[in-house]
Amino acid sequence: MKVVDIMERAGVVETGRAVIYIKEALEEIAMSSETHVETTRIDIEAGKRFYQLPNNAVKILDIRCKNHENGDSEYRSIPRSVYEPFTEDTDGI
Amino acid sequence: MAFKRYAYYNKGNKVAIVEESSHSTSGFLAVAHCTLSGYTTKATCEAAGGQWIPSSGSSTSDTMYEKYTSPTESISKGIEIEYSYTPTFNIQSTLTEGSDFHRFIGWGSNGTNLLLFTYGASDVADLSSLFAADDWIYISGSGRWSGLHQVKSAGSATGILTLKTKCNLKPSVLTDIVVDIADELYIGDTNTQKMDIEAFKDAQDYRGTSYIFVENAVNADGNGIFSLSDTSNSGALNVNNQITIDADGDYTSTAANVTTAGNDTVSIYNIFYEQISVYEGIEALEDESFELDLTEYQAQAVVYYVKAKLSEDMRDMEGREFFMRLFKKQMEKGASSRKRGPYIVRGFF
Repeated sequence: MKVVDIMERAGVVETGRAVIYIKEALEEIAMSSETHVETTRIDIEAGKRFYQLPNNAVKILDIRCKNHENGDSEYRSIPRSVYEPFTEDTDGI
Repeated sequence: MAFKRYAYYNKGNKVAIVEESSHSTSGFLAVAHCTLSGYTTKATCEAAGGQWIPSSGSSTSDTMYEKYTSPTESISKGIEIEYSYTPTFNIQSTLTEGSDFHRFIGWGSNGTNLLLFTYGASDVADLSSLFAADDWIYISGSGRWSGLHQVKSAGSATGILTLKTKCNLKPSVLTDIVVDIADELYIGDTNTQKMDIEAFKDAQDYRGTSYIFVENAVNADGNGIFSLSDTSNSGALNVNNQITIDADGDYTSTAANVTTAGNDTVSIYNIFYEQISVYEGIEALEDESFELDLTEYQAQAVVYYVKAKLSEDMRDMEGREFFMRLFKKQMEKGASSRKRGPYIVRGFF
């Protein structure tokens, strides 16, 4: 469906306003129904604890690590830690 | 490869990755190991005639404990993140290299905007005819910057693409600095410039391997993307490997061999090495002609959402709640219509 079709059905005449509301709707859909899903890989650096999430990520669905609980270079889901570990990162980066 | 155990937690907009490791209270690691060096698994150790010492075999096993720390080993593409995104663009690239598909070697910043860097097989890559201001591009292969971006200004003839995306990296760039180039060293020409280079190096000391992009050097081989080897040469950058993209589109890292030059005025950028793919031919959600990448049923939900927002604008809260309920119902029905039959429970392996 094109933007113009949605505008006609919803009775909106201002394009800018319609585009903003449609973007909001798509974000809401990505949050609740996950219609579009992507996977990206990041390098693990020794001693580096904090990693930036992808800029366009709306909802994180899974985080997997290579060799997590296996020695076959498979990517497996890693658990979320309830508390931060006692050992702090040395440089906080 | 080694068996590992990771966990994560959220810290602001970042994700923290921690790795479990074994420690003993005596301060020594008590991990499983082979009596012969160079063997990391029990099978290969014993096949070589060595003895495999399990981690529980330590004499201080009663004081053993596990703890989570920052990752102990660098692993290429070690984290895989699956996420949902908003489909506000359609990729119409034909994957024609050099036309609507391009490879970049890293990203950095000019202090304000995000920059992408590339280099050819042996000379700088000219991007001036490939990208125009306001073009939409889609980045993939970059953990952090994957997604839709807009070009700020036409591509440079020196292999730099400036995007409208904000990025304030510290340090970002040493602009028009005069250096003497010799023996793979970029040495500041004056004391002031040596101090600038020293500050530039100190600010990225935390990185395991730092990378720079050199622009405007008089010799072609003095330009491009280099890894830095050490920081012991005061007031100088010691380049180690040069990263290039060959004719087949492969990324290669070879020992740098930079031609000697004196009083060369260059710009040096602090960059992060990533093998980035950039797609052109992107249709972005900007006007009425954009086709949403949703099913007809899901698009109907968008109509309800827009009606809900219009009701909200008119302070009609009942109308807002009514249409918002329809929106959510429509999405739920759309999702459940794709599930059929009973669920099965399976183990983790």
